[in-house]
Amino acid sequence: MAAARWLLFKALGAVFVLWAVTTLIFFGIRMIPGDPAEAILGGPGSQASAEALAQVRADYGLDEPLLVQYFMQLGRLLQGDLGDSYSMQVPVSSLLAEQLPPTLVLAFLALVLAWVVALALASWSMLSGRGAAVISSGLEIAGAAVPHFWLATVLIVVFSVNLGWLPPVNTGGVDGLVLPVVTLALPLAGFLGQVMRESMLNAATSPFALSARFRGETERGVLFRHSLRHAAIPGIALSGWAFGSLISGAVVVETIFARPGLGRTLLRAVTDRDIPLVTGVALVAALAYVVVMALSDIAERLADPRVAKR
Amino acid sequence: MVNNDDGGLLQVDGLTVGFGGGEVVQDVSFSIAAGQCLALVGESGSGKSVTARTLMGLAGEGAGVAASALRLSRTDLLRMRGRQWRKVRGSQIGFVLQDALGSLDPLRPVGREIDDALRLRTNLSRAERSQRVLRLLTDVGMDDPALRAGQRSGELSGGLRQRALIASAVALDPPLLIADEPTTALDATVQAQILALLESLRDAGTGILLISHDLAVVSTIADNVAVMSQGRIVEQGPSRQILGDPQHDYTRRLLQAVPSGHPRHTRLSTGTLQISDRLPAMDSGESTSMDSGTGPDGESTRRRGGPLPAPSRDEPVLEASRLTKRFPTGSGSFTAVDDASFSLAAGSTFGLVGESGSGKTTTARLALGLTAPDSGHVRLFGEPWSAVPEQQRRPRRPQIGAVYQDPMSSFDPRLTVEQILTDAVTAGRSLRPARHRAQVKQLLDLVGLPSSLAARGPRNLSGGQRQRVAIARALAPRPRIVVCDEPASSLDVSIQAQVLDLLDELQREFGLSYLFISHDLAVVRHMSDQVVVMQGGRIVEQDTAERIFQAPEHDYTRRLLDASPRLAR
Repeated sequence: MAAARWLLFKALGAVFVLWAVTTLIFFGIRMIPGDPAEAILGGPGSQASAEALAQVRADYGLDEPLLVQYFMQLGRLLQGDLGDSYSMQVPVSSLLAEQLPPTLVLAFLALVLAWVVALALASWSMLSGRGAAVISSGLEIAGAAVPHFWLATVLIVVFSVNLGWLPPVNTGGVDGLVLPVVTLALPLAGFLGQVMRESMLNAATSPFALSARFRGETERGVLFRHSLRHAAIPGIALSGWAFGSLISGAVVVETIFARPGLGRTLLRAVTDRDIPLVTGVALVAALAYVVVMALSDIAERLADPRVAKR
Repeated sequence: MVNNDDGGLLQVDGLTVGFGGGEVVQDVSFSIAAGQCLALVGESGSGKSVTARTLMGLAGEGAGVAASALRLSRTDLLRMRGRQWRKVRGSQIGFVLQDALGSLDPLRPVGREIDDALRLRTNLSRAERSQRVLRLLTDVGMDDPALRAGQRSGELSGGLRQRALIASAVALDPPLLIADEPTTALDATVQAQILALLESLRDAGTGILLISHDLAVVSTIADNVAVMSQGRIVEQGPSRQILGDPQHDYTRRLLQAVPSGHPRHTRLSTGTLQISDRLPAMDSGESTSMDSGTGPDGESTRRRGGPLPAPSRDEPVLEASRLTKRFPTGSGSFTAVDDASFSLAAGSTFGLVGESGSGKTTTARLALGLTAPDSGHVRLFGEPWSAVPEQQRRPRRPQIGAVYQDPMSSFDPRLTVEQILTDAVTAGRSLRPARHRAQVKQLLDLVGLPSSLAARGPRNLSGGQRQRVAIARALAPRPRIVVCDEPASSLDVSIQAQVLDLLDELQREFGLSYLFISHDLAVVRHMSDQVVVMQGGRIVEQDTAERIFQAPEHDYTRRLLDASPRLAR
């Protein structure tokens, strides 16, 4: 009963988010100067004739008042029709089906790597004393502060250009995935690590950890049986948000490493003023965000029974 | 059980523990035999807990431990190092910490916590261990062990939680059990059950080191008592002798501080000055400390006219009739207060007793007008109080003040004592102490604190000092009624005695009326004229304090009284 109500509440929230995203994109993109009809005909360089422009406006309903266009688009979206891309003249849905998986893989792997690095740093600083704590805290701050484009450039210079270990651009294979994933993961790891170490420290100095030591538990045992779980809880709560930030990070990373994906598609769609494609990408990203948020909510409830009681 | 030749289980001789700067435990010696209970008694900071933790090899980081002997049966604890200590912990010595809620991992079922001890030190299979866990839970008196083993500490009541913690400490059947304030913060009836459990362990041959500041608790279970003050044992011997015929001044002071057996308006603490000595003409018409209201120009614009009208004994200052308050829960609602009626006479104390969850605090909030009743009403000085909107209540709020159990969380930790009191004196209009220094000083005098504390933050005060500041704050707007919700429950007996004495003096000096809430029957008896006993939101008995405690009529009151530990001398 409570679960059903929770699910309904989440679903309504998701519908609201998707509607808000559609509306913001629709009006926002029309504030960019330029003519969408021209964009459909290949951009300002195409020297399209006045008749051709008028024809396109009529075909796409661009001569209607803005509000009418808005409701026409909402109506199409409700029927599941994302429209055709202006610039590539193919259905947006098929473009998304092609571009979504590589981005999801990239974001998911980056999230996993970020967790591993954050937990490793936090555990190391718990078990190895003050020096380790200072070093890992410094690494975390540095990681959280580094921007993606700078990190990507440095990684390419070191590992591709100088050492020649990894390809600087997408090759379609696993080796091409390493640098993009690391670029996305390290800043997030710094951020997650700071949060996790804080709650790990609280757990390790709590009376229940002391009680465990009184039972003869080792420091390692305290870490694995008690502290790690307490550290994971804020990490799980942040992971939904982190996934969203990874998708926006993908715009930069996919462009730098010349990878296919949602991020690069979005960048091209915006520069081409490809309204249906921008809307489609934004909707998919928003949907992914909503789903991941719900998943992290469920995970948090499973990890911490106290949350479910609230 | 392997014992030494002299029958001693634990032998501590000349134990000294120091941290960098100074020694917190000095030359402490005692011994415990199998099946005996030694109580280590003293105020917070006396070195009791450090002594106990040293016996587990966990005195703390940077602790320097020295002793001429530290033996458990045949084991020399002084020669223990890392891995060897872990073999002592749990299997040779069990340890029960004070706060069972914090001492069990809130994310893990209690059965797993108990299982940990077995997993670490036995070769039992998983199935055998879970059998043992269930048996241990049964042994400590759990009603439905299979259910309890799967529950987390947050899902258990205070008593069940403490039982689970004890079960995890005795899982390996250690010959020695150390219990550090095991019943503090528990209700009287639950406390009695936990003490009975410890007693049965002792009778089964376990040696117990009980650490407590509560002499009444100690007197029910301890065979021997060691009194500790400032790191030293000042007196030790059989409990009958120590509690009945104390030789040391400090022991006498501790004993006098126990409120049970002290008639109303008699002092519990010694040494501090009476209010009349501290306070010249506090209540004269020229009173400055109670000026409230500062205009925008910073000048005092309003001065309360003259002293308050003398309280008349006939008319109640606060009247609650048929109060009911429900709180919605997942399904349905929970009735916190059920049809409660009482009235508070001017200049008297109205005691409210009951176990946790009986509706005492909700009643206090209803009286303060912080929670609206679902039905019934509260009248203040004969006028509607709960029935009027907050805007009409606000100007009358200075008439009724409150002191809570935990002053720390009721202070803004960033403010200094001076700012906290300035805030109260000006009714929230100013935090700048400069113009109100005289009033602040007078308030501090009133509660017996030196003005040198004014610049400190609440974190840098002791528990007793903090509670005095809380009382000063409650008195700043010059209330006629003060609601005291467990005002001394988190304090040591001797500090509790001082706070209770202070409240009593203030009451007589200013004709205050108290609504006094406590789970401690001895405290309520010492402080109250009238008493109500609450159970499950209902008032089960209401009478004068004398009659309730001499001749209780209701079963529940009798059970509470029986459970309440008394100082047996």
